[in-house]
Amino acid sequence: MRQASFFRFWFVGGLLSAVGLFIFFWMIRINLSPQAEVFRKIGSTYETYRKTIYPERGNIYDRWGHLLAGNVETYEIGVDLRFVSDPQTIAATLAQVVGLDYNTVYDSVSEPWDSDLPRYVKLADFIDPEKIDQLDSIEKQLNRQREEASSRRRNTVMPNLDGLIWTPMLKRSYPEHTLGSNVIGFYAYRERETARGYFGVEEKYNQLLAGTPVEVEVALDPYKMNEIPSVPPGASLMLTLDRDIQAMSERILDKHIESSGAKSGVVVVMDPETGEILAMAVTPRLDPNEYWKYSEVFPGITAYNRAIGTTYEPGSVFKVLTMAAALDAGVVQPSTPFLDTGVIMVGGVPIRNWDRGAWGPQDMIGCMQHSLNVCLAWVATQLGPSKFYNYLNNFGIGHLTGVDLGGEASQPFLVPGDNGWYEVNLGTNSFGQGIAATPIQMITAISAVANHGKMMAPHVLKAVIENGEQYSNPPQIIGKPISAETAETLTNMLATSLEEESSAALVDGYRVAGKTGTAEIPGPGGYLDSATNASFVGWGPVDDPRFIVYVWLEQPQTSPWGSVVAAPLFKEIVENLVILMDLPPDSVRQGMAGQ
Amino acid sequence: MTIRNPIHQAYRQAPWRRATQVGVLFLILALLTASILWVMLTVTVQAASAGLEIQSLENEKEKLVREIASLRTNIAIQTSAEAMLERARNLGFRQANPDEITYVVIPGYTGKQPQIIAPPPSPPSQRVLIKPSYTQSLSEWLFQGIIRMSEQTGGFTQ
Repeated sequence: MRQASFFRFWFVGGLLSAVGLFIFFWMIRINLSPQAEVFRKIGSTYETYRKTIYPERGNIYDRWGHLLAGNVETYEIGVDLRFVSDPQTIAATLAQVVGLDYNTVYDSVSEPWDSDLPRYVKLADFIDPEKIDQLDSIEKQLNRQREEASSRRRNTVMPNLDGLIWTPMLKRSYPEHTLGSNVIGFYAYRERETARGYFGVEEKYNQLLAGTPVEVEVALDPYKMNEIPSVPPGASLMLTLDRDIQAMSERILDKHIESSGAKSGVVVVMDPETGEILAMAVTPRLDPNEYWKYSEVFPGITAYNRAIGTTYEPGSVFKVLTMAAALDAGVVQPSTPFLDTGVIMVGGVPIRNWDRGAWGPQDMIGCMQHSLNVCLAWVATQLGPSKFYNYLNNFGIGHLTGVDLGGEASQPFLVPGDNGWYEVNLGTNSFGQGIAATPIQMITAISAVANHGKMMAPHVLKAVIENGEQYSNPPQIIGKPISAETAETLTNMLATSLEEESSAALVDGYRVAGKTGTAEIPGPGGYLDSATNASFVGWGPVDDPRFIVYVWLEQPQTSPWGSVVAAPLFKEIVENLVILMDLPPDSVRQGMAGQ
Repeated sequence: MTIRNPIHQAYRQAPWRRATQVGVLFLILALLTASILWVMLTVTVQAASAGLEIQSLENEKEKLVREIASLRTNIAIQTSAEAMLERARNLGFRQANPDEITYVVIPGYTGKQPQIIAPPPSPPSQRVLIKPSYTQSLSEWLFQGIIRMSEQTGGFTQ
C-alpha cells in the first residue's frame, strides 16, 4: 500500500514536471524560430505610436485684455472600418445630424476592411460640439436598445454606430468677427498640419503664436507608459488696439463711407508719444472665422489692409511735411510773407492753386490755412531739392515703417538724378502729388510733429505672454527729423489755421491741430477728372498731444474735398475718442492740473 | 535474526517522518514561489494600473485644455463689443453726449491702467524659491556637506 502511494506520488510529479518542461521547451522553440522575429515586429507596432503634439495657438488680446483671437473645441468624424457592422445606421445618422450626404457616407463605410487598406476613413471635419453631443446621445440610446435585446436573447442585429469615431481638436476662433480683422489677419486652420497665419498679426507673429510642435512616442502597453512631455502653448499677444476705440472708428468710418459714397476708407488712431496704434479701421473687412471668403471680400489686387498695404498720392496733408522741413531748415518762419499770384513756374511748368485763384498777400499760416499749392511749391524751391528730399527721407517717406503687421507696402520717391524726375516734381511733391505713401507712413511721419520732433516706431504689439510671464514691448524712437521747437511752432500754426478757417474738424472743448488733403488720382492717361482722395490728419490736445488721427476716404462722391468729407469724419472720431480715452476738455484738464 | 549495522539503524529517520519533511520542504518551496509570484503580480498590476491612470490623466488634461480654451472664447463671444452694445441698448442705455459728462478729480486715481494678463518676468535672483535641501538627494546633501566642511577646514590636502 505504501509502495503504491509512493509510485503514484512520483508518477504525478513526473507527469507535471514533463508538462512543465514541455511548455518551457516550446517557449524556447517559439522564441528561437524564424517566425519569432516577425511576431516581435508585429507586436512592437502595437506597443507605441508616434504622435505630434501641436501646442494650443496663442491668444490675441486687446490692450485691456479683451480676447480678439482664441480657440474653440471642434471634432473630426471618421470610422474604424474593422468595427463597422451597420453602415446604414451610420450613414443615416450622419446625414440627419451632421448633414452629410447619405450615399457618400454609406459608400465610404460599407467597404469590407482589408488589411492592406487603411482602417480609418475620415468623413467630416470641424464639427461643432453640439452635433457631437447629439451623436453621443444617439449612440448611447442604440447601445441601450442592443443591451435590452441581448438580455432578451434576441439574435437579431440591432442598429448601432460601432466603428464611428469622433476626435476632438482645437480650431481658431475670432469672437469679435470683423472687428479689427485687418489688423489681426487670419489663421487658415482648415489646412491642418500646414496651417499658418495670413496677414496682420497672425502672419507677423505666426512662429510666436504657433509655439513648437513636439513629436512624442506614446506607449499603448501600460507597462511602458510614461508621462507625455508637457508642450507649452504658443505665446499669447496683447495688442495696443483698444477694442472700444476700434469698434467706434469702424462704426463711424462705415457711416461716413456710406454718406459720402466713397469706395473705401481708412482711419488710423495712434498715440504719438509711443507709436502705439489704438485703432486701425479699414474697409473692406473680412470675418476671419470665414477666411475662405477672402477672394470674395478682396477681389483682384485689393490690399488686405489699405492702411499699410496701399500707397496713394496723399495731397495737401503732405504740406505738413513740407512746411515742417522748411521751418526746421530755417527757410521760412510762420510770419514769412508770401504774395500769391495764383501761379508759380517750377521747372518751366506752371503750378496753380486748388481753386485756380490768387490769394494775394499771405503768411505761412495763411498758406497752410488756405492750402495754397503755389505757396508750398515756392517754399519747396526755397528749401531746394537736396534738403527737401533729405527731410522726406528722414520722415521715412518711401521706406517701410516696419509696423509689425504682415503685408506692408512702400513706394520709393524719385529724387534728382533718377530717371523720370524733373524739376517740376519738387513743386508737385511739395503738396503731395507725384509722390505716394501709405496712411501708416503718413501718420508715422506727421506724428513727429505731434511728439516734439520725435518719430516713434508704429506698432500693434504691446506685450507677449509666454510661459506665464508678460514681456512688454517698449516704444522705440525711429528718428528725429525735426526739432522740438519746429514741431511746436507747426502744431500751433496748424491749430490756428483750423480755428481761423472755422474748419469742420474743430472739436468743442479741445484744441486740435490738423490739415486737410484733397488729391487727384493718377490714371493710365494722366490724372482722373472727377475722382479724388480726401484725407485729414489731426492731433490733440495741442498742449499735450495724446492722439493723432489719420483719415482717408477714397473717391468720395458727394464732394471731392477733404475739408467737406474727411474733416467731419475726423471731428466725429475725436469727439468719441476723447470720451473713450477719458480725456477731459482742455479747460477742465488745465484746471485739474492747476489743483 | 542478525542485526547488521546496528548504529546506522539507530539514527535512521522513520519513513513517515522523512515523507513529512519532504512534504514540508515542498510546501515551503511552493509557498515561497507563490509569494514571489504574488509580489510580482501585484507589482505588475500596480504598474499597469498606474500606466492606465497616466494615460487617462493625459487624456483628461488634454480635454481640460480644450474646455478651458473653448470656455474662454465663449465668454469672449458673449461679451464682444457688438454683444455688449446690443445688451446696453436693450437695457435702455445710450451713449453720453460730451456736454452730459462731468469730470471729477479723484485723488490718487491715475486713470485706467493697461491689463496685466500675466506677471512680468522676475529677476533671476528671485527665480529659485525652493531651498536646495528640498530638491537634492541624500547622497548629494552628504557629498556637498563634506565638500563644504573641507572648504571650511582648509581642504583634504596637507
